[in-house]
Amino acid sequence: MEIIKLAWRNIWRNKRRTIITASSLMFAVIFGIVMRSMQLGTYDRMIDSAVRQYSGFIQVQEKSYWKDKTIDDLMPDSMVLRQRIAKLDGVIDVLPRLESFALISSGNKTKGAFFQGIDPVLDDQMTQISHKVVQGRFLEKDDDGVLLSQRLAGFVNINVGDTIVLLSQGYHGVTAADVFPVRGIVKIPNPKLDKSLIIGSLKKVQEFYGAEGMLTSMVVNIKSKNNIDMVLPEVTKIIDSGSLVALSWTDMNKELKQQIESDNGSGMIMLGILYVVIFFGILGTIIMMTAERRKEFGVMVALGMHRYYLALIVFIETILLGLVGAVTGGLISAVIVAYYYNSPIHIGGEMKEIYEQFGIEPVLAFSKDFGIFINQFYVVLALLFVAVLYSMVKISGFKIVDALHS
Amino acid sequence: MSIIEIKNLKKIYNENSEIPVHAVNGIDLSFEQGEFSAIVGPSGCGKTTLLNLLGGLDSPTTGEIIIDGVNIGDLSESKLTDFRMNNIGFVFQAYNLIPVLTARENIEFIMHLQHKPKKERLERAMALLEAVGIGDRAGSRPSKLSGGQQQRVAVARALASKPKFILADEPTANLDSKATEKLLEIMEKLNREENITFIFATHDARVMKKARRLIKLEDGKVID
Repeated sequence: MEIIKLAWRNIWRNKRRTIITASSLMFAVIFGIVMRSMQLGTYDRMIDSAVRQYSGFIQVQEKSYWKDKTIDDLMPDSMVLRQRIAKLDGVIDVLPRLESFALISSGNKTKGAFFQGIDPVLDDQMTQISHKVVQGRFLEKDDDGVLLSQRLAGFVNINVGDTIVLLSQGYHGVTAADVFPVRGIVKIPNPKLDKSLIIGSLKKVQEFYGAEGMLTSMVVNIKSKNNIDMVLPEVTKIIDSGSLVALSWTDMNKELKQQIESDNGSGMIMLGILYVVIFFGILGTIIMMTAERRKEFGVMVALGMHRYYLALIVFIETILLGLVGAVTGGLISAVIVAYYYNSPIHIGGEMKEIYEQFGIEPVLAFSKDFGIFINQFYVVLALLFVAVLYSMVKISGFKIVDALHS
Repeated sequence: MSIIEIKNLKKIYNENSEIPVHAVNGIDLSFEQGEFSAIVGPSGCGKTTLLNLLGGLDSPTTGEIIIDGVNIGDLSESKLTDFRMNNIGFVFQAYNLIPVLTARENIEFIMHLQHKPKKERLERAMALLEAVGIGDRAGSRPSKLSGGQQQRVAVARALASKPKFILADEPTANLDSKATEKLLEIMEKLNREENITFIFATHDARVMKKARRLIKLEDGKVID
């Protein structure tokens, strides 16, 4: 008779209690996995819409640019530097950009906007912005037209083929003013950007600002955001540290980082409270199991079973009980997560507006990171380990004669 | 030849209180191989306490118990557990079979603890079940067996480890007369044919009648 078989049979002695305990674990695991998946998936989506599709995870800038973001603090566009950075491990490419503010005017409507000059081919590899064109077409290399974000276009009442006037201050105080045909309308996931973004070809934007051959930044397109800690120091080594600086997205978007950290913290506290409640449920079951089998434990030790062996059986029983709940919960969660990963929840009504006020895309996305499942599994295992200590202590200390007469 | 020697054995409960209880009060006894003995006396006379001490389930306040030359008081808990497993069989009043194991598995259980090979365990368990007359109930769990059948499984389990002697505490207390008769017949046969030593603690007249030696206890002392 194998020890696992004995332990397995023992947990089914009281079917109802086992089902209730395993179910509580199962629901905790489902709640834990689904909640974490939704949190992390939504954070990923927020980072993706605010970082990958806009600033990139790493940027090289002129040292004083980030503080004031003035058009006068530009860096020269160096193909040599771009190529050196692009050759680093974990780097896909380096995107040159020139961006500043401008007044957009059409008819009698005027609005402050953000004018971004990009290399349409290189930028699209990272942001896949061409897929977000909802009207008209994407920019061509050195295109003299622009793309307007959807809400901005709506505000100034512009359609594809119309012309807009942009007015701004250019490099070293020159006046920047020009007329641009609208090639297309793009839907930007980040609501804040969607209200203010104008995209032009780098060459045309450089001409507009009178900053030929100059950039506000080089965006380092990396393979995964998890590579930042590896790539950033290498980029820093390559650049001219006297005048240039390499910044990560957390330096450039502290607001988003803090928002995620704060939300993540409150989620963890909720999960912690849930698991404390579940822990006492498990502990209750273990206390009952230990108390009602005291006599049996006495018999087993009287017959010649060592206490450590008895403790091992009870330990395996507890782990099996936990596995029944955790594995079932994990499988159900996997189905839920897979469904919502493919069909994220789009928030509507007033909540949508609240999300947008905070500049967050009103979508609850899910992550299918296997680490979420593993972490919940470890938490359950840790709870079981702590709870089973009660049985271990009782088994190591009972008197055989007292147990036999209990 | 004595297999058990008890010297000046005492067990005092609540020793430091105002009213200490002398459950076993200075007993000197010995048991020979092949005995079929009963420790008898009124309730509270110390029968079960003496049996527990003999089985190494409890420790005496003073005195010695020497089994086959080994003073069990000198053994560590771990060695005493092994000693019980290899030398002493137990039959309890309430059968105390493991409810999730079948009759055969209950008997195999102790041989599993002795690390006996599976084939040997299986063969011996079946042989013992046949010996106690319930070979056909090998696959039944205790809840599907009558009290008499459960106690016969308990006897088979006690024999499984090939112990030097079997301690049976009120083995017939929960059985009807027919089941008692059958159980005693089986144990007597095992004693007679295989020279297995049985020591009972009982106040059942039917057991006393079968026993070849009666040890009468009163107030923790042997009076006869």
